[in-house]
Amino acid sequence: MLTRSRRGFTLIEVMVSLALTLVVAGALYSVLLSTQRITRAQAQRVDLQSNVRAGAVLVLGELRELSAVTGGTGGQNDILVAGSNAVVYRAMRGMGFICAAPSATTFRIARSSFSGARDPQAGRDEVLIFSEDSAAAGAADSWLGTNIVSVATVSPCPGALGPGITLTVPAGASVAGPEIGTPVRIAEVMELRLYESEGRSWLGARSVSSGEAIQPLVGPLTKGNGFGLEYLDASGTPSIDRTSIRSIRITLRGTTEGGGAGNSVPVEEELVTQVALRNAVQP
Amino acid sequence: MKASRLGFTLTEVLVGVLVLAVGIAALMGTSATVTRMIGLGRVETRAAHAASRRMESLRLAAYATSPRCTDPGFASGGPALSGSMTESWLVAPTGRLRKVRVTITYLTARGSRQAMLETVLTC
Repeated sequence: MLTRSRRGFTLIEVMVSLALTLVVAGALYSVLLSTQRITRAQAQRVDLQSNVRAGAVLVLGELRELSAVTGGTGGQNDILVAGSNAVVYRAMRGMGFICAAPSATTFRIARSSFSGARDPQAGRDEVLIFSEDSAAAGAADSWLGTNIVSVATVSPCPGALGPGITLTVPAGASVAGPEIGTPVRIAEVMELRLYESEGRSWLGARSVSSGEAIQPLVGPLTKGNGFGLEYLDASGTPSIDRTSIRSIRITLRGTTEGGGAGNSVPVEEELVTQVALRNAVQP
Repeated sequence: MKASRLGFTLTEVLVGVLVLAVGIAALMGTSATVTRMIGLGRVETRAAHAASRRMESLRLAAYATSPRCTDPGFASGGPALSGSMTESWLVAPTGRLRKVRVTITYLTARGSRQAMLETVLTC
């Protein structure tokens, strides 16, 4: 017969193959969809984990070098405000040695002895000068701090080739007339705290001494308790006395967004880390 | 006559679909692996932080006294349970340089794993 001899598919064959194709395509589609959802959710988790990790590393590095007691008075303590989700501290920005003191209010730091990420800045940094057995401090060795009026990098240190860093401090500062070879530290008052911006919480940092606005370091974190600080004394018990702080426990929490098209359950990530203050560990 | 016609038999097609299904299942397996690995990364980070936390506590104890390292807290200890992890730490009992080793044992989907942190403290 004519129809029998023609090459091609019967209706049944086409229907069966269509049905099979549909099943396969459906399976592929659902695989694609779930892979997409999983990828999105995992990307969020990875983001979250790296955020929290980065925060832990950053905060640890910032707080490690603090000294909780540098002398007799509270003002010489590197930790200025110890809050449960904010800390104001004196961050070390550089260190060097005095090579010359041209006047009572100026002294020069040898460039070769100075180490720091940047030069001292007037109005932003303060200078702390080492004072041995200072009567004013009422204790043994201490660091006496004062503001910097101006910074110049013109005049050289005696015997040195390049210019040194010349700092001018206010008249009447308690640090007048330091000896040559005295160590100096350059410090900046910084604040780390949890703050909200555009409806999300961030761990932010700002230079208090220069009065700048807070800038995000890590985030978004969990609102309210995304960044927590606990201050411990030498025996490891929580302490509110700034001078007895020897260790700080840092908690960072973040949450993935969840909901939305991916409708994944929000995942919380919490990382608790602890740092012993390296310059405050001695009894 | 029917057998001689060109084309696939139903059995062949079904086998083909089955193979495809196996392939798709394998594909799904990769995302499960990725999920597991990300989860593992999370647990490993926590273990590493737990180890460094314990290390900092030991450092604190070591430097809390004068002369150093006489605090009873600066000694081997554990196993101590913290969350889902078990911490144990070994402190060399004598010497000016003390080796300190913190071992964290934690559970994963594939049995328990260990993270170790070692350092030397000056006494």
